[in-house]
Amino acid sequence: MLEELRQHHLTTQRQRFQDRVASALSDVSSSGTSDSMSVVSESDAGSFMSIDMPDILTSDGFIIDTDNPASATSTSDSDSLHSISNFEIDYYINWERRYRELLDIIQHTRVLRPAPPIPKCSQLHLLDHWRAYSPERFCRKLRVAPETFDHLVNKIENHPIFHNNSNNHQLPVHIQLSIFLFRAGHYGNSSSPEDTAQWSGISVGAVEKSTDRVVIALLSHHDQAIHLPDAVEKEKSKAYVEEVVCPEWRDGFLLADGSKFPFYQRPGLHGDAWFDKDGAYSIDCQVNLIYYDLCICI
Amino acid sequence: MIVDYSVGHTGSVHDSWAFRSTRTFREHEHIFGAGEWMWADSAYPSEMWSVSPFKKPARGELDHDQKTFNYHLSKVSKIHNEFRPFGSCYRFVFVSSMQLDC
Repeated sequence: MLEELRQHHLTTQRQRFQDRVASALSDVSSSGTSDSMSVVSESDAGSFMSIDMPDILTSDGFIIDTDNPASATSTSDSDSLHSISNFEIDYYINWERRYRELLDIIQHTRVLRPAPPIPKCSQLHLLDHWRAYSPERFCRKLRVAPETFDHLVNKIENHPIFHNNSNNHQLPVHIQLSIFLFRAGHYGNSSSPEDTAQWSGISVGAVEKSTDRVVIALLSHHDQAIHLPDAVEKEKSKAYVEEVVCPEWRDGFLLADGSKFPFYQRPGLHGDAWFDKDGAYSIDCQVNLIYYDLCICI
Repeated sequence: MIVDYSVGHTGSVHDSWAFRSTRTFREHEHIFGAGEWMWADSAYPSEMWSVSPFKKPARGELDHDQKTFNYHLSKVSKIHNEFRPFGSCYRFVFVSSMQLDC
C-alpha cells in the first residue's frame, strides 16, 4: 500500500517536472535555435535526466545518433570529417546551453503550483483612529498607551535591523511594532502568524520577520532596561518603602517574586518535569524588582 | 523596574530553588549593603538579606506581633498583584526571544 502510494507520488512529481521542462524547453528552442542545427543524442538525453525528451526535441531539427558519426554525417551533410567536429562542437554547446537553462529554471522556480492570493483586509488604520478618538481601544489592542508606543518607536527605529540596503524597503517601523505588540498581547490562536497576517493585511512571512526584527531591536536595549540599581534609583525605592510602611523598613528596597510562563502544550522532552503546582505546563521565571517607575511596559 | 531575572527552570521547581540561580542570590554580598535587604514571600529563604513573612506553624496560630508584622509586610509587597497579570503578556515575548537564541 505504502509502496504504491510512494510510486504514485513519484510518478506525479516526475510528470509535473516533465511538463515544466517540456514547456520551458519548447520556449527556448523555438526562440533560440532557429538557425543553428540541433544535434542531440536520444540515448544521452534519456540518461541525462531519466525522463523522455525526444518528443520535444524532434520538433527542433535533426536527431543524430552521435554514437554513429558516419551515419549522422551521411544523413545530414556529406562533407568531410571537418563538419563532424563542427557537429560535435554544436552538440556540446547546445547541450551546455540547455543544461544551464534547465538549471536556471530549477533554481528560480519558487512555487510549483501557484495559488490565488489569500484575501486579507488590513485593520491597521483603526489604530490611527483609536489613537485620536479612543486611546483605551488602542491600549486594549496593543497593550500599551499611544504615548508609550511612540516612545518605543523612537527607541528602536534607528536600529540597523530595520535598514536593509535594498530597493525593497521594509514595512515602516511603527507597523512592525504594531504587529509585534499585537502578538505579544494575545495568546493561543490569536497570536499565530496566520491570524496576525489577516488582522494586519500582510503576508505570514512578513509577520514573522517583523516580529523577529522587533525582538532583536528591543533586546539591544536589554542592559539599559534591566540592570542593578544605581544610588539614585536605590534611594527612590527606599523613599517609596518609607512612605508605604515606616522609616525603619526603608532599607528593604528590593522585591523578589516568581512567575510562570505557561506553555501551549506539554513539552516532548521531560514532559512531566514542567508540570507546575497550578496544573499547567510552564517554565519558571524569577524576577527581582525595585520600587521605582512602577509602570512595567513590555 | 526589573533589576534581575532568571528563566529556565521547569515549572515544577520550587521558587526558593529557582531563586538560587539569580544574580541577586549569588552576589548578595555586593548587592545589599550593610543593613539592606529584600522583601519576599514565604516561599523564599529567610536570611539576613531576605525578609519573608512568618509562616503559620503546623499546629497552632501566629501570635499577635507576627500577624502585625505580616500585615505590614503585605503592604510593601503589594506590587506582587501588579506584576502577576503581566505573565501572560510576557509569555509570547519570552518564547520569541528564545527562538532567536536557537
